[in-house]
Amino acid sequence: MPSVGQELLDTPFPEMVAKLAMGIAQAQHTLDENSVSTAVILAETEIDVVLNITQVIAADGTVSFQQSDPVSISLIQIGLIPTFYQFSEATIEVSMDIKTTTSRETNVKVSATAKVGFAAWSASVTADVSHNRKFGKEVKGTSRLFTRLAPVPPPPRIAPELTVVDNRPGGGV
Amino acid sequence: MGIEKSFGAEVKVTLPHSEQRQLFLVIFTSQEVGPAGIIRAHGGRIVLDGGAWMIAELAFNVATSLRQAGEVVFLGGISLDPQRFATFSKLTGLDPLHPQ
Repeated sequence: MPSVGQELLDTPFPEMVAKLAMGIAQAQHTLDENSVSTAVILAETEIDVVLNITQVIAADGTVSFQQSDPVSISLIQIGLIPTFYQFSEATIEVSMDIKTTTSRETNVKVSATAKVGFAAWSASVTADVSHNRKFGKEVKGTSRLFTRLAPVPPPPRIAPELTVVDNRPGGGV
Repeated sequence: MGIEKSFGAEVKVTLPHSEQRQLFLVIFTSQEVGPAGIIRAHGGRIVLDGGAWMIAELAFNVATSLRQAGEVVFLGGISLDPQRFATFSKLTGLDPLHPQ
């Protein structure tokens, strides 16, 4: 019968660690793909921004507004960037509860019969002995995989460098 | 045989309940499904309404469940780059310290 120590040694820790690592790698890849897809959508989605509105008050007091033509600006140009996540911690916890029981049972059954007749008699004794030995084993195992996900800064150059050249008189100030 | 089989165990995967809110880009199948109503129904706050797409502030666990909704085509977490947004704000005159 395997000992408790052997049961613990039989726990496939290398396999568990390898599967956890592969699972994290696959999840990280999926997360990165989602972040890259987000970056592409942010770069392709544009909104129209009116950069200049001029309020003109005429001599007679009437007010009118003149606006410049709207400029299409992508969401990533505004400053919206995808959030990148990274697995910062992974923990495996394994707990085992092993219970072994042994029980022994002996049953003895004895019966005797006797017959008496004319100048003859007979007797018989039968014994039936049975031994039962039972082994019980109960193993309860709990494993817990814990991973921590944390947002990390986006990789550099996720968005093109934005340089503003303002040629308006006074630099727009 | 999988590890769980060797233990005779059932495997249940649950995500932690996270109330942390962050910005998400949510793209819907169409504008007709009522994106704004769906976002609000999930306790979200709309930051930018683009019709079929929204920039919304949602709790992380809510966003995770919203990703499974049939009306949602794409959902991804986003952040605001302060430096870039400051440049944009200055350009558009949104920044009160640097008015246009």
